[in-house]
Amino acid sequence: MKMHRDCQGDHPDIRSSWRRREFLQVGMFGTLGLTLPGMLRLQALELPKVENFDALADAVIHIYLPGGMAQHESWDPKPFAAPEYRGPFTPIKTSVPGEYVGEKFVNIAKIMNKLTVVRSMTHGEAAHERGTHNMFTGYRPSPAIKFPSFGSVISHEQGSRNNLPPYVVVPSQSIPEQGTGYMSSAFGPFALGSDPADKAFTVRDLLAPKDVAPARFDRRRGLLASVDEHFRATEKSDAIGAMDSFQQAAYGLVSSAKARQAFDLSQEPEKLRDEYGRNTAGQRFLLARRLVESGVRMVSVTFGGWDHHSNIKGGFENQATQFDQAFARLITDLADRGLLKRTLVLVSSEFGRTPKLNGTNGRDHWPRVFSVAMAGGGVKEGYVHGASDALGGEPDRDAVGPEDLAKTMYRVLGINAEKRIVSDGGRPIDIVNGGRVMTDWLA
Amino acid sequence: MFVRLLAPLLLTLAVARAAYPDFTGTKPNGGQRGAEVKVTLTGTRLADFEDLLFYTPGFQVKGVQSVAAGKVELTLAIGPEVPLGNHLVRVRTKSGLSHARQFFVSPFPNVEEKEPNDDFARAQPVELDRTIEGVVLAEDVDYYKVAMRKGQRLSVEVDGLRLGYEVFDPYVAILDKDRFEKAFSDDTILHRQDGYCSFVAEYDGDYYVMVRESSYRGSGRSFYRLHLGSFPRPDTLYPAGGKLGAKLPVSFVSAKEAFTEEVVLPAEPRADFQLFSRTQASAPSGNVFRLSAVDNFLEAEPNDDRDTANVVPPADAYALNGVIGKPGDVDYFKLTLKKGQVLEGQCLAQSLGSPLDPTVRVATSSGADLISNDDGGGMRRLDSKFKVTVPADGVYTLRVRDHLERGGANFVYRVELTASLPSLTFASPEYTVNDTNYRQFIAVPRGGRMALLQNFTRSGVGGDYRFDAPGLPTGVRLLADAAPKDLPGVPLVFEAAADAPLGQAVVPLRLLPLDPKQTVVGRMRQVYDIVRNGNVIYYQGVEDRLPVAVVEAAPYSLEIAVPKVPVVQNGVLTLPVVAKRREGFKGPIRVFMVWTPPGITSLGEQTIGEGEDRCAFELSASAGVTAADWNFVVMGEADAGNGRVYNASPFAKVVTAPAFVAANAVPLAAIEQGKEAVLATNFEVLRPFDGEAVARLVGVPDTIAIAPIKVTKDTKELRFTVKTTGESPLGKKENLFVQVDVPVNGATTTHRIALGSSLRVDAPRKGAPAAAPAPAAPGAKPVAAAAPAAPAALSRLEQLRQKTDAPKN
Repeated sequence: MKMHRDCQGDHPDIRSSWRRREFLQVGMFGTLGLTLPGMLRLQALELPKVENFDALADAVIHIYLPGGMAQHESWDPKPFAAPEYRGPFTPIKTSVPGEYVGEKFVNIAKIMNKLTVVRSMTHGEAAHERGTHNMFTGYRPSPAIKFPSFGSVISHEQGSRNNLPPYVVVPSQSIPEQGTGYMSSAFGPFALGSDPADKAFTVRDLLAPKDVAPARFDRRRGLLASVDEHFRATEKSDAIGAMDSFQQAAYGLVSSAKARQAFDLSQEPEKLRDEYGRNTAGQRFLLARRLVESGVRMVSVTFGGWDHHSNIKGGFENQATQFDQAFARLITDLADRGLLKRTLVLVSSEFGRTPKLNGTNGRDHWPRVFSVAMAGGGVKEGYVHGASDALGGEPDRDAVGPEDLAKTMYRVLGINAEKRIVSDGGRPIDIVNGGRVMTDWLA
Repeated sequence: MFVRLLAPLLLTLAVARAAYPDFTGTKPNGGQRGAEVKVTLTGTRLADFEDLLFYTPGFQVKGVQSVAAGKVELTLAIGPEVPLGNHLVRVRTKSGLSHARQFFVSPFPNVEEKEPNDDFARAQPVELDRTIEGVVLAEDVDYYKVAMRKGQRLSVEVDGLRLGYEVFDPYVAILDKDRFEKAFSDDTILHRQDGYCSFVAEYDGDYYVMVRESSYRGSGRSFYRLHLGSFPRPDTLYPAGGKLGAKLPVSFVSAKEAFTEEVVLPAEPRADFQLFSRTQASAPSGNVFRLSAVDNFLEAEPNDDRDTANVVPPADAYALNGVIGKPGDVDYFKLTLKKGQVLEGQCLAQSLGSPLDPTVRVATSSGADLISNDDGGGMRRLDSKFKVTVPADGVYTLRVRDHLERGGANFVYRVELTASLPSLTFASPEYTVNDTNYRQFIAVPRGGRMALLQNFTRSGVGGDYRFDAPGLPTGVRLLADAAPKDLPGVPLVFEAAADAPLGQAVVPLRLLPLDPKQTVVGRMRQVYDIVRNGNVIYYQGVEDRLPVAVVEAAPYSLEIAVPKVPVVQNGVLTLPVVAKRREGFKGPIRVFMVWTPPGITSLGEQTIGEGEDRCAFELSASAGVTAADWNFVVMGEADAGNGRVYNASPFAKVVTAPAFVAANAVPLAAIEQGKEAVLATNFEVLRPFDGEAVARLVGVPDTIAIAPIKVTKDTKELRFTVKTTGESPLGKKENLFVQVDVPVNGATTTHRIALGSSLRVDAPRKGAPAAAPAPAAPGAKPVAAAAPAAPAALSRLEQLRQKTDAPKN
């Protein structure tokens, strides 16, 4: 296992270090080039038919906690273990009899009876970027091919609803694994480019610049179209098509008041905003709810930095409190609005952390066993799947891999992950290779 | 590139983590040997500045001109005896001690860079034998103009990365009047990102020196010291090591030239030892030289094949020195080795400044490969490192060559084979991630204490030792000095008298053997980062002395409430810590468990909340913990208005003892949901105790009720009644144990026995009669009727046996 002394993974503070990304730029920098012969070959390729599933949910909110959240302090506490395993907190009882969560999950403890918690997630990747890849794609990283993220696959399979981008990342694409992999950049995420927790939060690409009059805006659009036409005539690149489809989507967004409103947090009642928490987690999760409510299919939210190699107590005290308040309110809010049944909320992280506290009072990377949580969207309520051993070091029973999680998530949306998508070069690739639909989790 | 993007972020983090007085820079970054320089220190929390703490004697703060929270201006006298190069320095304030920075001593006086000097035409004129203090801003290029005579050497060396501000990669070049680059240097083996180069003037007139960032970056913190002189700049030394106390000729070697001078080595080992020339104009920085307990063996050419291999006299340890003098050169040595000898070998080259990328092979007399290694050496990865056990007595050959078959005058190497060479070192562990400087010092508050854990690294050294800490500041003492042979580390606690004067010392901490026959002295070997960016360490140093300061009294003190009872094998014990706060100080106190003895574990820290006065650690003992008395100590860290203030508790005696009671694991028993049953196991009293102890079966959720029972020294069996309800979760519950609180000395000590017990809750049987007997014991009487002597739940095997034996009806 990589301990922090040798850990070659970078430790960027993803809380604040998003890269500037204009969504139009993704098209321009897209690296894929699908040639005309390739296109024709694709059309000639017959892919095996797969069974169709009825969708149990219309949308997914994927809350990702970068860095690797410790299972002991969160979903899988060990109240009876020795203190150096149990950790600095005292586990608390939940609304599910006999089940405990970490001390900082005060509100989550109350809504545990609405959640499915999987305590036996496991994979073998102890480096951040590799673990993240597992948890965003359902695949182990490959040197030969880049796999698309959940959101890109959903975008590819289901397209947009209500003039809204099907796949939105909140606040921005800070992790490469949120990208499109082998797919066209057209299925990339729409990024806010601004943090909902900021007081001056606006979505950069949604509004025409203030000093640009509508006539001028149209003129610009016409000019851009003629430039595009020129490239289209001289270049054969998927990137141009992708850019064009982004632009179309963007103009659709800018011109549709309803679509724009989906991103407008100021329309939420002050009281509700307070209840979610006037902080990063609260406002991001609230925006995620607004987006799925309006028709976005996949909202990928990242929150916090959970790479607690030292002083895990201090690390959890602030962040876990924010997460707890916002997540619990998100679930009750979705339930109150009748959205929870058709919205899957998934909380994951790239891996767990070592069962024993290290010399600097933290925990190091540990992918052997960790936990994910789900709610709504056709999964059971108050259900705990699998278990880790007494120290939280290995799966004790019913181990689950990232491919199982991915396949089940797609199943909930009505996507059969055995379907193949044709990558560049005419290679058909399973949406998820192997894995099981975890029918135990489904209500 | 990614690292660079992150640099400002990580730097911010590093600064935020640094506490106490925060010492972020000096201007200038160095001065001339034997001169007095005006120095401005920058940082935060410097308002109660007292003094600078240099590790090297010869520096003196002559006067302090101004003191503010962020800035101190002072005059520093650099003695003529101070060696050239880098010197560690910390800031001491009345309330604390800062992390160390480096101060550079040069043979030349300082000159300040004067903008505009950013193009050739506006080059800043300077004289030879000067050190320029400058900064490279973004896209900045600095030019200097120096008048040379034909045939005169112009040597240029830049200190950039080494100054320790940020990841700054300088590029230097010497240009002639027609702007041709005559010599340049970006990176060097000796100084990594920092470069140096030399050029012999071809005409009388101006030459130009250019400094920039290698990819035209730069910032307000890309400081450099640029040395201009006629000094020869050796890359490395040959031999690059020698025996302690020896007198030997050493060549100062660069690719183009070399000179030799006689060197007398110190008798005692020194961390980071370097050599400077004394017969020629010295370069502004030294060359690495290994001090060793082993005699040198120098190669003698020809030794290019096994037949002409240099025969090395048999010894326990070897230091083979050579040069891969030309491309394709291979050096062979013949070693007489003994069966079972464990050779820990390293071939040092890059770490000595040599461009050689060594590969080493040890072969048997028949030519069979015993071990070979190319890149295995720690921080300089191209160096070789290996460990091998000699399979049989005999003559072996050791071969060294360059990985790419390069060679040259400066391709020096030194193979150290330290078989069975005993050594003892100690170091304090890192206290946070990615920061080797955090809390690595002793700042003892008046009337208080500060503690530092020291872990031992023993190699072939046994026996008890004691710490020797000579020259502590007045009023400071080391509370306990024992370093027993069977402990991997001990806490060092320094205490200052309430009236101890504020002061400082750099203490050459040593471990001295109690056995007079033992000759090995233990030395501190504390590795610290000089330049680091997240996981990437650019520059490190090693220190063998401990900085100790006396600072003002802390606004709180801690004390461990000594428990009346021992912690027993497989037991747990609560260790309360009580804080006394000075009037007005209410802030939270982080409390660190400095150390636990082998077999005892605990959380590393607890917090005494704001306004509160206590916290507690739970000690957990293993089955094999040795019965003994142990000195426990905790240390507090609190933000007391002027950065973090430390204060450790006095030692508190915690006794470990054998267990009073024991029990076997409760065998797996099955209970039907909603029913109750009795779980039983044996109970053994190992040491009699008075009164009643309480036993609890622990490890099941609270929806399975198990009442505690009382036991005495006469109890032979533990019987727990287990009640389940419809809410009791189904399935197997493993790793249950019995917790027994045994009364001792008016308190209780907690045992965990019957470890590994288990219990299974089964789903209710369909169609079973409501008042069926406990399913765990089919055929037994209902529990209600059987009470108080309810039957024990039976194991699966016993259930099956009973079923078979039951009369058929």
